[in-house]
Amino acid sequence: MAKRITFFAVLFIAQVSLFAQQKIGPDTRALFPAVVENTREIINAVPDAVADLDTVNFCLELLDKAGEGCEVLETGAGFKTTLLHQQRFGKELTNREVQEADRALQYLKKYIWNNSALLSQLETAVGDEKTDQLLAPMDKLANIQTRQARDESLKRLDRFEQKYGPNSARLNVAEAVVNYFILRRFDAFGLQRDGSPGPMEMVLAYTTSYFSYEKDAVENNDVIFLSAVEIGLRYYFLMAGWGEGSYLKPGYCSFGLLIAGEENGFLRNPLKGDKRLGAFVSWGSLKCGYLFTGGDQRFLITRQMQLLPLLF
Amino acid sequence: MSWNPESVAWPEQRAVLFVHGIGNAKPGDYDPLVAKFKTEIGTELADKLAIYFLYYDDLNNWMQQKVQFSQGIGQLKNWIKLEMIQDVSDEVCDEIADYSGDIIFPVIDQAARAMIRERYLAQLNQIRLDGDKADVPRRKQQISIIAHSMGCFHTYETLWTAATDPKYCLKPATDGMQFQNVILMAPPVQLIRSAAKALGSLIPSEGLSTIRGTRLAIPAEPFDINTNTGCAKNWISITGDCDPVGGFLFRKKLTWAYMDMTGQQSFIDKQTLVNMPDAEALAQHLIEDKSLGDGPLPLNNPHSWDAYIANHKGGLTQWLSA
Repeated sequence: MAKRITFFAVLFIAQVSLFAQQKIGPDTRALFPAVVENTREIINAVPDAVADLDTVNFCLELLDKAGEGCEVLETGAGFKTTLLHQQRFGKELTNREVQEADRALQYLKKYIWNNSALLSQLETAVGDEKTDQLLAPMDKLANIQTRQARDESLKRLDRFEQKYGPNSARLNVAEAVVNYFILRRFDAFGLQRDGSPGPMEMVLAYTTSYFSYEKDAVENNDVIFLSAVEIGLRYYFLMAGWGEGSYLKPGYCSFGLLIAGEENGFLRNPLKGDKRLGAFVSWGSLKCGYLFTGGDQRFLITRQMQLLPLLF
Repeated sequence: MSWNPESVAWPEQRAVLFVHGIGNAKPGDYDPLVAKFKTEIGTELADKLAIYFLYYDDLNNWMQQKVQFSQGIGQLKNWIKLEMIQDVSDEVCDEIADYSGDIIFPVIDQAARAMIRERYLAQLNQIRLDGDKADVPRRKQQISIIAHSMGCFHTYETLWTAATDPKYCLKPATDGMQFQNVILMAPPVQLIRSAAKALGSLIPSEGLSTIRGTRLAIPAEPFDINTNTGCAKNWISITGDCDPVGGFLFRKKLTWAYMDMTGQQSFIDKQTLVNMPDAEALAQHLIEDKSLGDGPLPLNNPHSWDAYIANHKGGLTQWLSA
């Protein structure tokens, strides 16, 4: 119990992250036995360089335990490793154990494996080549974690490209101001906790080019234009494979309120006269709307675009 | 995915990453600068380096296109009814938008900054992975950064994130990611800090390391209660006494614009705005009226990255081979 308290106290004082942000995968855990063994050898070689031997030993015990869990997983390979199955073995790591193992890793990385003062003493004690050998499993472990970190960064960059890249929706002045200056403090509109962009964007647009049809004087169908204000939300599908130009998997969808004026036509004032209300929904750049008040119920269709740069 | 980090085979145990400043830079645009750098430090050392270049201007362009910044500058031109402004062409408006957008968006918009930072961090991790691939043990990998102008701002922001956010596995103490050298040429970090502080709540403080704390500091991770592990063994600042981006104006140091951190090695180049060896040569030039006859006075660009590299070839050779 005392060791556990010391461990957490040291972590807190040293400001090591108490909330593990990395999951420990099977590849990582498979290295734990060699890591634990070599760390013990390092400690034996330079015992005076280790500031807190009790905490180091406690961390090594945690890693030992995590390594056992990994063996169980590998034994169970070929089966669908359900929770029930894991419980039958009785050794699968709980979330808490994973977090503890991660904290132990952070501690050992900081105070033993990457501690330049300790490594300098180790080189003097056992030589450069032996030091390389002792640290080899730790370097493999670091390589796995670096690879994961890089891949996560690339995934986040993909999400940024979906929201801000060439295939994303363009913003007019009002939308830019609202999204960048007012809503940015909300995770859903700005940045999420993991550094990814939030999936939402506010829509505040004046669309000049909705078109519909109506019967003319001789009962022929006639295409008409209609201008409307859109107030709503745009949601970006920040997932792999979406937003690459396909209509099946577009980059975003949007929905919200549609307001049209009493007159139909191109570039008409949507707030003039008796207003007609409706709703719009888009799937990628395809957008449709429906006006259901004002005695003129009609279906509208358009494409996401800005005819007048910056404005509409 | 439109971008992948650059991967280079390490000849030995050293790597250097170049990070450019503002401008419309596309991959390959700085090849002449890298070639010049290799010449200046000598082929013997250059052949030992894995050289990387981080290009990120396409990310700035995304933001500019999303809000149609170039068209905005054009509209602004039309609204300002000055005749001399009306003569400005659309191409010039594009250039103005490109250069000013490279500064404005990363400072005022968290997402614009985060995108560049994320790319930078992915590239740093790729450099380490390339070192692993070349069988260079982690503790022997010597990685340096050479940044210029706005690239120094992105470097500062990125290295603070690397030093404090565990998910990138680039913390100086925990992950052993101590750069051999971080060399910042004409850094505008203090200038941006002063400007951002003056703008107050218009600039989002979340995630902007440049305005955090009472003063700028070398990115570091606390090792224990009393000590920090800095992200670089050598943190070097180079600027010129006529370079306003680096905090000088006509040889006068602007304390609100000059980056001065505890622990940094500072170098301030003596610069001349006119490319003349001395006052006598300048007088002779003016007497002969060359400025009117054969073209303008031969002016120096005090912000030139090439010039900073040429002026510090000795230092670069020493720092990169240490």
